[in-house]
Amino acid sequence: MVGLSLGLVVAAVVALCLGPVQLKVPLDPLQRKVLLDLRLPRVILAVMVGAALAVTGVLFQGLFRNPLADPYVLGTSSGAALGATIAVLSNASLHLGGLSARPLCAFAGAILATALVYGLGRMGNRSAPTIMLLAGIAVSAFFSALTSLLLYFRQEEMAKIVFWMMGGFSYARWAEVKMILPYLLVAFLLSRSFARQLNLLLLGEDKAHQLGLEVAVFQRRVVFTASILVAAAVSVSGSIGFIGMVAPHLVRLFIGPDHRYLIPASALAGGLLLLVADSLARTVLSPVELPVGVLTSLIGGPFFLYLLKKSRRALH
Amino acid sequence: MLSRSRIRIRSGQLSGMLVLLLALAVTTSAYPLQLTDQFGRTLSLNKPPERIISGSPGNTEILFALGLADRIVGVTDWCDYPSAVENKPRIGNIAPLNLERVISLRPDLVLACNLNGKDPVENLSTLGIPTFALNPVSFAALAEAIQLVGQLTATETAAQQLVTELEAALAALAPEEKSSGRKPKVLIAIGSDLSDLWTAGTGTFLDEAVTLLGWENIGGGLGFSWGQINLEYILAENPELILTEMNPAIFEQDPFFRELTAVRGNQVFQINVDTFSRPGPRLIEALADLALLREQVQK
Repeated sequence: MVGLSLGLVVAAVVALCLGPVQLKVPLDPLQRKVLLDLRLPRVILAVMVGAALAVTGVLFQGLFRNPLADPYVLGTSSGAALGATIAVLSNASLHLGGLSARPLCAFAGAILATALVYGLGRMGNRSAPTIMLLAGIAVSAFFSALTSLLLYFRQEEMAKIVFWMMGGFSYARWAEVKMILPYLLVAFLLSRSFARQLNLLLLGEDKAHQLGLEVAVFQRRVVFTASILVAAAVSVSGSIGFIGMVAPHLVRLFIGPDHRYLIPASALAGGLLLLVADSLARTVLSPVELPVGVLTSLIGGPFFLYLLKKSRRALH
Repeated sequence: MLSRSRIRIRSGQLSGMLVLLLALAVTTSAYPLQLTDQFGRTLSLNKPPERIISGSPGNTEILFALGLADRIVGVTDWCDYPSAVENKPRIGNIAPLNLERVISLRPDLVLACNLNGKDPVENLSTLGIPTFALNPVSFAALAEAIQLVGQLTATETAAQQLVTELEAALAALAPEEKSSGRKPKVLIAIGSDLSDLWTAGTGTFLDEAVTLLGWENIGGGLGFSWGQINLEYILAENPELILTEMNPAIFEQDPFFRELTAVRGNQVFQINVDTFSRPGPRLIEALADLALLREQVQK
């Protein structure tokens, strides 16, 4: 945990120094602005979103006891994509707290999709997670199809949406940080309070129930919290894959499955991973920005396979 | 520099070719006609086409400009200019082309283009529909495309006039004298607002026109035609000019953009990006507007 925190600080300092505008002490007003109003909010936002995605991954993997669960299983990302698409296509000029229509509609879409999946998942009592997973896949497919349908009729806007869906922080400002900060703080605190119950669930639903856990109620709470995290993340950065799945697994390899440590450590690891990925995304081909979502999957995929091969047992 | 000299050479060749062809057309009937399209495919026609389908808005505008309105029997859903196009039957999307719809209109020429993709063009040819593809990705290629359409449809004179106008508009962009050699840096800002800023790079008409003006497009030569660039890079480059489809006031209100030399010196100019993205005769007007804008800049 100490190592992760140190790594995060080092990565943040390096990220703050990288960019097309050269910083020389003493800073002139432009350099100051670039450092404090462009790079700093971007670094903070990348860490926040990475942490949010990683914690969501922990919550879902624990809840569904499925190592493949990640923040997108509940249709959240496709809901957000649909919201963003509608915002762009309708040229909505909605503004709230310094934010434009796209993040707001993405947030709304994410919440809507998750609420729908959650509602469908309630039909069962004990098998709720399975139903919820299936409902998530169905809602995902449905919302993605709606997005494609809308895009098909407005092909000239396609590039905008497609780029947004690939994820990125090219327009990260303090307004975005301020908007998601309260949601993330509350959701992080809630997540930490779930640690003990998630540990019980590791023993299986029946055992957890016998030990006094109201499984169905708890599941709803976790899903609700996780969907706030994903919606906040997606609304400011589009959809970024793999962090939510990889970060928890990575951390589990080192510190084991105890959620009391797994949750904060995953948050740090997710933040670190996404910060590094975003710094690469904006510097390797500068001034062209790579979509960070493409980069996380491009690097995350093979790296994850390597880990998988190296320590199959540890991942169970 | 490079691209300008290339254009001159090409248009020189073109006019030479055209004189030859015009001479041929005067002496003998051009049909049966064999022409190579801009995909490198050969098409034979026995007589001027009477039922033409246009595969893109740019193609439609070229056909109208050549006075072929009466012979058009189908246009895409995106064709919206000139207004007379409203009454034409629609064939649907540019890509993918609805082949059955195209065939049902019994065309004797489908004027396709790069936007339709290679496969649909091949498929149409295989189905026995005479198909000719344009690939107007530069001003020189557009001039060639217009002349090819002129030959195909026996409207060489109108085509030649259009090309002459286009070449004149391009020539008018060239700086009057070799100035100090320092090129003003220009940012082409596309999009609805600054949170979604796009720019036009290599391979776009805007980039080509700006280069002809003797300006340096800071989004050019970065390996994309339409792309997003880092705001910090824009700040570091500090362009002296901004060409945009947004309201210039947006730049003055933004805490970063208002620091730019272009914004401080009121050198933010609104242009119509749409006319620059459609390879057709209206590019001539767009170029003329750009030449006028240069006068404003130099003041």
